[in-house]
Amino acid sequence: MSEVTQRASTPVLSVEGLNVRLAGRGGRSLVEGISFSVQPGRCVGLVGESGSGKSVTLRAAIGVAPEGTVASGDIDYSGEDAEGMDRARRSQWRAQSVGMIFQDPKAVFDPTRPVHDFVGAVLRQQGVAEQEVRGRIVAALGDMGIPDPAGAAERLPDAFSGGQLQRIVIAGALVHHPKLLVADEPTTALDTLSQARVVHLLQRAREERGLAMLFVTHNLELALTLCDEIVVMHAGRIVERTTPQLLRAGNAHPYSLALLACRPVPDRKLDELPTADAARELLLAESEFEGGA
Amino acid sequence: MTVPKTTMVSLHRFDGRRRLRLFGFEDTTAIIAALFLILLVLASAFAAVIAPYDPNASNLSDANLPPWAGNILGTDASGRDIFSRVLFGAQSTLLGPLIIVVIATVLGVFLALLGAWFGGRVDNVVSRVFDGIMVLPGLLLALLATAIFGAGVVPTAIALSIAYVPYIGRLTRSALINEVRRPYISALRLNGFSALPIWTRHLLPNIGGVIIAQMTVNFGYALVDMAAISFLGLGVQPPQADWGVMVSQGQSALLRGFPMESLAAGVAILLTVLAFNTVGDRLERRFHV
Amino acid sequence: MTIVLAVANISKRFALRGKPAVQALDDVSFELVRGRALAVIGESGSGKTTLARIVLGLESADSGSAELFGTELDLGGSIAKRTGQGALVQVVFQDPYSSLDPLQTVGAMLMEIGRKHRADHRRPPREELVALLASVGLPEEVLEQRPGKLSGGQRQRVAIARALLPEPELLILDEAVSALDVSVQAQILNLLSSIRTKRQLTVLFITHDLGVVRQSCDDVIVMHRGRVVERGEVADVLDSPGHPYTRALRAAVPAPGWDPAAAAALADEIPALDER
Repeated sequence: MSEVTQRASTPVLSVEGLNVRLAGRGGRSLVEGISFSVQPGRCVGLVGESGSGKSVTLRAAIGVAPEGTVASGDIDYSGEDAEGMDRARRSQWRAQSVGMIFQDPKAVFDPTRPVHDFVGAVLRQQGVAEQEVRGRIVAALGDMGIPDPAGAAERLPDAFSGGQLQRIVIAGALVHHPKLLVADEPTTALDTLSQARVVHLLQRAREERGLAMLFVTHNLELALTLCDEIVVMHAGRIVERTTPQLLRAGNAHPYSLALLACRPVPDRKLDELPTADAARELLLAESEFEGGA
Repeated sequence: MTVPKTTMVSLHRFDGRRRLRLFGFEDTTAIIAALFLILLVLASAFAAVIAPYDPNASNLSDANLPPWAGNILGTDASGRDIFSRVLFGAQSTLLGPLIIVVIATVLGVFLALLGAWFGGRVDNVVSRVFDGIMVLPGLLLALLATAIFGAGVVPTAIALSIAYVPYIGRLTRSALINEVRRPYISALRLNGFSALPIWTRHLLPNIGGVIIAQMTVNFGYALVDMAAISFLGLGVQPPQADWGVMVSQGQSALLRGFPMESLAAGVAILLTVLAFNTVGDRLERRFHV
Repeated sequence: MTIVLAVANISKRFALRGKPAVQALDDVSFELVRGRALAVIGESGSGKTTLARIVLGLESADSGSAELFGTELDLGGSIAKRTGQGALVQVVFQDPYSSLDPLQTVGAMLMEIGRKHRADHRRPPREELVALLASVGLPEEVLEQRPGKLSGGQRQRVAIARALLPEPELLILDEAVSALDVSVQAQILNLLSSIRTKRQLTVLFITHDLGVVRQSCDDVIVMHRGRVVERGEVADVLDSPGHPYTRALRAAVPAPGWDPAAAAALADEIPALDER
């Protein structure tokens, strides 16, 4: 796909001036003025430390803001204004066009039902014939490297490790061929080896299917591997929107660079790890400057 | 400059009602229930001051008066003022469940502590003890106690308290097991602290909320049980005022078309139990029992 | 060269109801030399945390032995039999939120622990505690605060202060930085390394993060399914890993030019049971 056609295509998800605050008069603001868009085939990473508002942003963007919060802003799903859609239409869009992966794979399964129940849920809801559903479940599980996919589909979630469960979740998120995959810290609860497998599968799914992806993580290094565009967040605001190339070249906001540099690496030992203290003070000064102006 | 399109994606609508706050309770029902209980305790404590009449002064010429003839709730078959008897009756009615809950809490929490702290075999024994008591019907225990010690509030309450041990003990045990696993407890043990100071200074204060919630909920149940025992004539003995006794004694008047005695005592029991359950329920939710 | 801790042939099996028994530790031995930091790495289920708990006396071992400064440790899992251990060994746990009693102020907590370790059982003077807090980068006001008021990083600093209070010889860090944000983790790692140099502390660092190992440790043992599969100096093991499992772990760390496909392929070479 050329640069021109990419730009011309409609974003799968576009968010403009998103604010989320706690419900109630004078409810505290959780995120403010967030804008980004995800083009088909592109991956956008929302990166930040805890409390930066990255998960809230992701959830509000797909219309499932956490309970007790109010979101406002201009959100478009495949070019259509989300506000113009009624509730049923929005959840239909979500079911058909979005695949979701969350941090804790154990939490999404009903422990008393075999895993095909979860993996095939959207297909069954769409009225796809049971035989085809079964075939697609088995194919999707096999795609994710689950051994003996036909047998695995019948097993209870308890029979799988956390890493395998997350791969089954991904199978379920992709089985209905969504346009957009949203992933909220999909590897944080996993071991490093499982993380590598999951990242590899996500990368492959993107390349093979031209999926758009919205990826939330606290691990900037991970986002640099997976994403085309990176939105760095701090305290509910966007620090900057940048690209892996710019960040790698050191051409980015000091806070983003600090996030990258303060993670210790197995290649070398430093006399002292850099911290983000100075960069954070700079952010504080910037927001005060904005507030004063 | 283009005017930005600002549309609302309202995902969770906020209901604009202002909410009362009292002792951390945010809903009106629980606040009313808590106020009711406070009022009840005060009213029973100061019954002698508030009550318009002597609860035991009978006057057969004033028997079965309706509520509008000078007595707030009318009079019973012996011509005693029902309102005064409800007020005085609160004392003995609340005494039974109080004994039950205090004894059951002391025993239940102690057993739960042993089980949660030592784990393994000790915990198995504690769990079996709780299971075993659960099988015994509490009322039967109380009847047995009256057979041995005679009727009265104290023997029946003590017997019933045994039946309440597992209700308080089980939930306390699971709360304690969670708490014991927390690393701050490990840190104390690593620093050479023995069981007793850790129990009293750290474990129990940290699950205090859970215990109080359990006590409150079970107080309501115990009140019903004690009222039933008094209704059967095995608890509080007439002529002393008591709600269970009043429901029982009012029966014959009820059949003759004078429902006030049974009704007043019955409603008092109902409201009190409801209030205890509501408050207990909110406390449980607050402390994530 | 003083051996602070010598662990020999420790094994431990967990029998879970309705599930096959798990061999958490299988014949694990190592020695910890005074002043050095030993990393125990491995994934969840590798047995590394069980190892720490056994050394601390919070868990029993099925077989094997351990010596602390030449004195045999009771491995029956009964901490009450480890009298005087607290003055020698201290620990910082992973979760900063449950590591502190939520009802107790930091000052009261430090007083309580402090008087336990003093010969006269008197409360340690306030100046001593203020100095201790300063050494972990916390202001005096923290003494009056309860944990609920503190951030995750501050709580972990308090937990470190509590561990340093009895001036231990050996500090066990059980995933002590893995629940923290990266920027906070960097501060705590810097703090720990300066404390180590100042106090000549010996450290046993349980972690799954190879970056942390490189930054903060001298030696490393790699654990896989309860066994030590590789050991050596950190630089040697990380720069030229010998065991396939270590190689897979090394390749799985995201870095510039990282190839997840190759990392996944290496991970798949490890027997399927490794995945948890």
